Amino acid sequence: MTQTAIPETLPDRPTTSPPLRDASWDRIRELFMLTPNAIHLNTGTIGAMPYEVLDTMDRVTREWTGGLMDVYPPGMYTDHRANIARSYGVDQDEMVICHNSTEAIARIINGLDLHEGDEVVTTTHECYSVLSNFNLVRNRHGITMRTLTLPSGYDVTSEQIVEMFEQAIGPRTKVLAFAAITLFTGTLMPIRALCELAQRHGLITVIDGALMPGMLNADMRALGADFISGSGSKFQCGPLGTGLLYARNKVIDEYNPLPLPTLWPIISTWYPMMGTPPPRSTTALESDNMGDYLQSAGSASIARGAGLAKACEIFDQIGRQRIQDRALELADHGRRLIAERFGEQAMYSPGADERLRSPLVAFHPFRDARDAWNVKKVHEFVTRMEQEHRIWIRWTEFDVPGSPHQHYAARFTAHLFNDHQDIERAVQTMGRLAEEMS
Amino acid sequence: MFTATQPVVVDDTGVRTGGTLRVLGPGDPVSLDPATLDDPASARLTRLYARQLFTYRPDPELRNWQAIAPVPDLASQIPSIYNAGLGTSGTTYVVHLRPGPAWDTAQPRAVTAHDVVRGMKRLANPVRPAAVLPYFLSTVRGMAEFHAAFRAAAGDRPTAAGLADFQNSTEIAGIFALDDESLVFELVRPALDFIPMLALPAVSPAPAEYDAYLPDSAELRQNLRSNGPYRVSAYRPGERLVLEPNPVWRQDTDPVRRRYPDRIEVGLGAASDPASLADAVRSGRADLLWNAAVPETYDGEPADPGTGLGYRLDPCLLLNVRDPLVRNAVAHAVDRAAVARAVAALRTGTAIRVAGGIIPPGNDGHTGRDPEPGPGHHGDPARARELLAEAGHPDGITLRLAHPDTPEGAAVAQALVEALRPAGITAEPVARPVRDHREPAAGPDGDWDLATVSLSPAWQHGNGRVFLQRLFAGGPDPELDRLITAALDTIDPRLAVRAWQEVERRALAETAAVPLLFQTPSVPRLRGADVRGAVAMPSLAYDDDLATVWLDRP
Repeated sequence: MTQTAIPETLPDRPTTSPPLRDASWDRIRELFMLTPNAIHLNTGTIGAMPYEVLDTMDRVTREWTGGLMDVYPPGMYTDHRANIARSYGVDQDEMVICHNSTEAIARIINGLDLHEGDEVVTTTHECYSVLSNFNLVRNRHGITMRTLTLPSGYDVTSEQIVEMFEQAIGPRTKVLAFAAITLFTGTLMPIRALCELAQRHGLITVIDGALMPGMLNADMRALGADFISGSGSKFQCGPLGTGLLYARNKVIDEYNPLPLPTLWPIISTWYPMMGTPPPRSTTALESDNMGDYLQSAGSASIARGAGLAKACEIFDQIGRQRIQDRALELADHGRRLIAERFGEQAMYSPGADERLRSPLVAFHPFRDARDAWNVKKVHEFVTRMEQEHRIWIRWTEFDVPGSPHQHYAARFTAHLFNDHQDIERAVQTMGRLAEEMS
Repeated sequence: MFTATQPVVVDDTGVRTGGTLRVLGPGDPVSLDPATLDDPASARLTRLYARQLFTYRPDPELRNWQAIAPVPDLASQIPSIYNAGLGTSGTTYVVHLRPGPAWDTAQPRAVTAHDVVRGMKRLANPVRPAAVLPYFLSTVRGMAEFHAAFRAAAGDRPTAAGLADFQNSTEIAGIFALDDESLVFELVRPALDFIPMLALPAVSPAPAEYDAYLPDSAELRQNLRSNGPYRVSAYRPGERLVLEPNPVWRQDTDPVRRRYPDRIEVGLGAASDPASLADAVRSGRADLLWNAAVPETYDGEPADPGTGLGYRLDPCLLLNVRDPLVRNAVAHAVDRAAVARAVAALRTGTAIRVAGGIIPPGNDGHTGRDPEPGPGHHGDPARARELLAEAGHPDGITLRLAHPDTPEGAAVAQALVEALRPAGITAEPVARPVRDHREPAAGPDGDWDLATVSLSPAWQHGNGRVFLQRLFAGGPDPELDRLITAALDTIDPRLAVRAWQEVERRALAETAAVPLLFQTPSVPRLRGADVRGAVAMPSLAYDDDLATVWLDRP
């Protein structure tokens, strides 16, 4: 099994605006529409758009408003998809721009060719949209679900997680579904290792990558997954109502030698009206444009697609590896401060195994461990951080193995527009507030 | 965020307030203490003064989904993933109370989450636990342990002080208040029916004042507290119960109940004869009946009401007989057609079907199988005699037949006595007060061989446990218990249906019970000429909700 600190990455793309590549983080911060006198540490929920993205949306909206041009071709986002796909090491026929990560994951899950008795192995730490859509398929087709509770805490290791999945795979298992980065504890899952595990067992891999675009400089093909969803408005800092869907559409043995899984492209204008598409490719050359089937869904918001493409272009210019390193470094700084202030035992996010670290850090802020299952207290903590100190974090809820309780945590998220001062002020403030509330 | 509620808006256009609502019925309430409650007749009364976290809203159109969907009552909202009230694994519920509801104590005070916890502890009391308790023992973390410890602590001569000491010093691990407004329920397994379970009338908060009394004791009945629109102002057992407005109740805190009459008088201990009860209503001496199924006049046989709602199992014959051959003989001997005729003759206005299974039509898991054996549902007395002979009773056998002391209970028992006789089974009927009858526990200590029971679906969807867990959990057949646990462990609704059907198959194969009839009300209950706003509620076994009635008279 191979496992790197972070998923396989691509070299940064050459850009047309070298200044951003070398720009200081202070200058880059100025690109973003950040609320004045506030600290935004909740990119895990919603990012901040660059001004240029808003300008692009405004311009494109005006260009296409009231005109008599043919709106359908640009709604296929052909060039945008090609550019974005390149940023993630895949091709245009494998990349789709959709309305959000939920839509992407819903179209993937509901498009799988699953039947009664087929089993999906997933976790209780998945986003609601993942679990609800698998339940929908369970109700519709009679599949079964095996739902694992991921370990949490500072000392969790990558091997622990992979082992847990391996133990859960049974003779009826057809799908391994997991988040690239869990939203509750901010665990960067051992993606490549899990995909290799799935491949050894001939399984389909479905990855909820809502937090992946804009956070990780990921080569989606090299990860070896079959399907990945992504948000355009979280770490990617695109407009609200944008998302990405990656569907593997060719077989490249080096990354994933398994045959392409059947995908029914639900919601489609250009799926054949008679007959079937060509048989799916068994080689490195696609047999058909799966991305087009999925992308064609009537008229589309040309402006939103352009806005997302602009956000991706800006990130390419800054450098995706650079962004990833920055976000992780800021989060590590916060993680260290949290550990000093609250103790490592307060952490729900992994820390000791750097391969599992992400820019999201979840922890228990109070002295009394029992407050971890007091949703009102954790909610009040987060609300007071926002209302009294103008620091935006969020609370999360999740199961902990061996605990009968639903746990609630405070979670902060670092991104490229944050700086060390943001993190330090936030941790100091959280420390004082937690002390007061304990 | 958590306790915010939608404003309660009531359209009282055309409603006349005031007056005395006169209700009349036989007997005495089986329960007035909510913690011991499991009969719809008592629930009609407690609904006026004991609110639940969740309840049902009266809807005159029973085909509306809203008629059977729980709604927040004392709770501010139904816990769900969307409002952070339900964890993704389905085993943690966080319930927040709406602001406003209060007890009519000497110094009025708010209903708190601690009162809800107290109510749950009282539900598990060892003196007179509610019949629905098994649902909670197998669902709520620590409830079974709490109940067992409570029983051990109470001993043979429990006292109010002893019970209170235990309750106040022992916690149910999976139920705890976060503060006055919010509490957490933790389950041992996900339960898609947990909100309907919390909407059962027995699951009511209890004020600390109840610690001074044994559950549903005569003393408690004289000291009931209210958080509903009315409060008990007078109660003479077997004679009358008077309810008057609760001064601390506010309409804007109660989304389902109204308070139109100034006074509700329940005449208890009336003759149970349906004709005289009907005469009281028609002559204007009573507005509504209580604890009696007296419908409007009808011709012919009542048809299926077409609501699609679940029938009740009524009656079902439980068997406390060790020898499987004898049990099988009873199953062959019963003449369901005769029982159906006896029930139809009572003219209670129900649609009647002969039961082939335990889960009635309209409920999850109903199979539609035909009863066995014999054509025309008359049974097979000859085969029953053979089985008895094989069991060593060639000259027949005498069995004690316990039944509730109601007109219908007596009629069914008599029909069974006659139906079993040709098979050589002498059934000796033993009438028992409804309060003591419920679902008698099978086992060597039981003072009965046969017992008739009836069960209404306490909720309408995902309700496999309502019939099978309540009748058979903890019984003498360990395999039945295993199958019940397996069904409870099954979350996928389709698989759960199959799992409950497995339980039913086992119960029928082992003749743990002989289902006789399914019934559902079809003809509306008789109402006085001045009665308006009365709504039959499935959760009250289709009796009228007293909390919405008004009187159209000066």
